Amino acid sequence: MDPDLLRRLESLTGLACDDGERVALARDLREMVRFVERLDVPLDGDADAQSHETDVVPTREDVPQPSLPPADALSAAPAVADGCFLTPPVRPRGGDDD
Amino acid sequence: MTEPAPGTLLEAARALRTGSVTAAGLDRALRVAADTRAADLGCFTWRAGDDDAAPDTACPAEAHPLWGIGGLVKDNICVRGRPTGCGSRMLAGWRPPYDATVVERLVDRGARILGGTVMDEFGMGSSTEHAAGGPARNPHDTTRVPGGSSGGAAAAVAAGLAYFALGSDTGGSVRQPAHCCGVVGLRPTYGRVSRFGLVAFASSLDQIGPLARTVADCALVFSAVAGHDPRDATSLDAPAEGMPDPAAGDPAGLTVGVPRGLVDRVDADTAADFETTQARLRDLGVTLVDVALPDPEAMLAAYYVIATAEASTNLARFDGACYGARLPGDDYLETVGRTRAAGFGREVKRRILLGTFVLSEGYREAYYDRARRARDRIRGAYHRVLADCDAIATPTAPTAAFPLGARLDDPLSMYRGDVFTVGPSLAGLPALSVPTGRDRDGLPLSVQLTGRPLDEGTLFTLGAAVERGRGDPA
Repeated sequence: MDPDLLRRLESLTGLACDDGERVALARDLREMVRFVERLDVPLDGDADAQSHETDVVPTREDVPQPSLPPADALSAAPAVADGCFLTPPVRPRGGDDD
Repeated sequence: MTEPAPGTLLEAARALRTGSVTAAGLDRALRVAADTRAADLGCFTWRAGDDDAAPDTACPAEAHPLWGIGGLVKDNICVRGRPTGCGSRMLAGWRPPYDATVVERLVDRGARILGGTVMDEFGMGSSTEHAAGGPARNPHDTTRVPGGSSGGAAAAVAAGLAYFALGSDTGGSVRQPAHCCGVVGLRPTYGRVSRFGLVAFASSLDQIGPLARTVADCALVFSAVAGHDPRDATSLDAPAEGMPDPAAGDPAGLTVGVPRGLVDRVDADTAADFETTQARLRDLGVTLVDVALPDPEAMLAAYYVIATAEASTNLARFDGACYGARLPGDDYLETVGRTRAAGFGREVKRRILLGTFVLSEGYREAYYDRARRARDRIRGAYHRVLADCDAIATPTAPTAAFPLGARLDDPLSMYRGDVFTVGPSLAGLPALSVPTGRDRDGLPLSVQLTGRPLDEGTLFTLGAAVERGRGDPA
């Protein structure tokens, strides 16, 4: 877990850490990665993606349903304008991580 | 003058039915108890006020047993118009515009939602110390943690501030706090209880489950909230209403598997208590057999890869755009960075970063794909054991509740507290934590009973037998 990899992860996750936090997180992550490296399972075959261990399989039809009324959906938004979510401007940036 | 509330949910339900107490009287009694202990235990995020007091009417003859009974919900289960903050600064003050299905089902049956309970941020923790508003405390010893992440719920139920609570369990977050606080906690079969209205942490693992003071109380709440819900794509068509009374079940003739090599992983008091529990089960006619399950540490590793990977994607939605906190920046990316840096606590950041790492290019195969295969093997191992056994018994946790702060700077030590609870979570199986005794410091200890898919009924039968054998309340 070198500093470059941690900065790359910060960029991917949208987490802006300060220097002090970065040192502590790097240490914690090194320990956690070392711990999960004990998984010694061959990478043969595929793994079952579903979590149910039963034959009562959920087979919901994918039917469109009414959404929340817009006023309800907007009621907890941090910023609203003209009946829509108000988001900050998106600006292009350079660099590999953006 | 306010009378003390009856001790258990079923006793309160009987008192309501006979008219010896009213719902308003029960509310008052619980409110007095909460007024006395709430600050000390730090277990509430909100409490119902005077405006929400129960009407002073008689219990209708045809009412559900939950009619007039006061319960609580964890801070990640949506209650319309009530704060649902997930223990996070990110959602501080957020009030959902709808009820979770479990809340609807409780209210439809006449239960009363008396408040929200403190939790580790987004369910990530085993001590309820990772809560934005401060930790909850254990009612048996307020210098100790109540477990987590549903620690506020367990503390409140153990202290008699409500008859039940709903928590959520991803890797043990109902069972482990139930153990720490000496109450009963159930993780239902994956898909048995709707998660519509539960804020997601790790979607292939999350389940909502009840905490209560007795097995029968826990079974009643479970049967009320379980059942198919078309609004949750993982919901199973397996209703649980009308389950038999756990107290009427006879455990004689059942076979319970006990994984080998547990003694090395628990402290001396837990080992002795688990031996006593096994002896009690034998006395009741239960056959105990040695069984082999995968190394618990390997299960823990698989769990932390899968859970963090799913958390990193689930929590990507908290970007300050549509709900929750926003710390404005000059543009969208800066706003997201500032919002997430300030909104998430350290444990959540650790897990998001680890989850993103195990999913990222160059590492996914070595970590995430390997963990998925490990999970398959773990499920297969449980399945083989449960083909011959009706349940599997382990201690719920390796130790009793630990002191506040003891594991905060050592995440792996904290994670190892979940060593027995993550297996059933990975396998999608039901598991019940039942108090069994106390350690030398008077702190509760518990057994975890893991069952076949949809066979919560056998767990309740065994759990009620353990409870009867225990004698004094734990």
